[in-house]
Amino acid sequence: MNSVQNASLNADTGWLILAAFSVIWIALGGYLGRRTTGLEGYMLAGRKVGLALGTATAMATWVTSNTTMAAPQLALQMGVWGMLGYSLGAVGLMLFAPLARRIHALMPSGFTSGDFIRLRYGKTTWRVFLGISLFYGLGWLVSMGMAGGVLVHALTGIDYRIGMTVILAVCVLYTVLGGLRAVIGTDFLQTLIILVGILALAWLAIINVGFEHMHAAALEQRPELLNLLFPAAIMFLFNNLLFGVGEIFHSNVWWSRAFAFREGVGFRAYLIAGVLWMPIPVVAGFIALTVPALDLNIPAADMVGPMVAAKLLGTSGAILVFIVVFAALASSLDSLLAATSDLILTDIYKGHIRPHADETELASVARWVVLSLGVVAWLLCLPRITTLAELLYFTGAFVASTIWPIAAGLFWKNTNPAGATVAMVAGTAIGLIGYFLIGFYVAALISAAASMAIVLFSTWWRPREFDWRILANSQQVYT
Amino acid sequence: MTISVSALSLLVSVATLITAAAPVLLVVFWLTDWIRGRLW
Repeated sequence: MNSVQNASLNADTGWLILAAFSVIWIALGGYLGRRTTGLEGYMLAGRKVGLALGTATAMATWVTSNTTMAAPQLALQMGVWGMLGYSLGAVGLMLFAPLARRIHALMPSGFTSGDFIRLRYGKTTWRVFLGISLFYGLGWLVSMGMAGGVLVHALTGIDYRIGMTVILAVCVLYTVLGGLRAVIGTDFLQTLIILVGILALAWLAIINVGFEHMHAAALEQRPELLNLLFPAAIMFLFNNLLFGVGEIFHSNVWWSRAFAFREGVGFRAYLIAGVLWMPIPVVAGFIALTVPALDLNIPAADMVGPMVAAKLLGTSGAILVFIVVFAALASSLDSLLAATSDLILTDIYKGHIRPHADETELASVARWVVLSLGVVAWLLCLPRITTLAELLYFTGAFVASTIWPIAAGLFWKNTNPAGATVAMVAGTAIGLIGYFLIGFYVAALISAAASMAIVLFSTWWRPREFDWRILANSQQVYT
Repeated sequence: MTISVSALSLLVSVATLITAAAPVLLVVFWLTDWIRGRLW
């Protein structure tokens, strides 16, 4: 039988898996969130998340459908450096470890990354930051929603709109029901599923193909995959590293966890998550190197993972990939929904619309914000504008410009608001120029370099002493 | 310059071993947190 046909399940099996896991995630989310009370309980899981759940949620959120599907794709396109470059995304998690400890110490009652920027740098920088953060958050959310529909369609033949709607609706439902507690609780199980699934595939590839055969076939048919001097791939490696650092440093997905973790957990959770995440793209990616040995004809590079799985395991392989992809999608979608909603609730609703809103009002509005964000994401996903996913490459320039203003703002008391604002705006602009003049693989690199130069120069030129105690009271009125 | 068979197998084997250790480690963490009442 043709392996492309094998890579797809029939729609009935697809529906069965989709229905079974939808019920599991919604029931688990509802169960975990049954005792959630108040704003802190809903947004930050009561600020007492332990090491196990903390480590798993950091890992699961960073394992997106991109990791499971794009790591093999990159290995097929860029060879060994493709998977190694992807694995350097773990550096962002590890570098965030000391930041998480600092954030928790400076802002024990903080809610969002926006809180920090507003109190540390003032309103202008805050608004620039919110623009970057919401653009990125919504872009990532929509691209994940679209990826859900596309993957469900590719793996099962179920219509794009129906698959996307089901996946998005499931994530919205359990996030509305249980808030961050439901998100973190389901992440634990999703992490285990993803890890076991990827391991099973890698193990089968090693047993069935073997390193000698894999290497010899690749060397004969696709020697570039084993080439260690691949300039574009090496540039990709460094750009991906900085893109990842920028994504993690600025995004409320990671900040909200730093606030939610129990004291002393943040540093260890992020560090361990980074170390454990690093090999995943290598394990998921290397199966693409078996393509020459398996004599597979890959019509679309992004289908290489499912096709190798189907070749090695038949229908069971396709089922395994589908379950892993669903878990990876849900673990990232729920986190994005929760964290972006927090930013909208705290920094837009309270920060700009109802500055005197009390905790009771915010707690009741929180669920509506998650639901509304889900509806907006669904509407944006409906037309399946594939160029929207490409927009995410743009965001490399945006997010990398925030690395230095955030890191310097957390550790240096002399970094000034004007320098931070100019660093974000100019870093983004210069990064975008690099994107258009050179290529996507340098946007984050150039943006981070420009932003760093501006922050360093402005801190030296116009130092402005900041009183760290201001950060301790993040609940002050916004007007 | 291409990666050798031994380097490739070492890279993938180490990555697979760490990935295999990850779920075990997470379950151990979970049990430890649960026993100490520090899960949530």
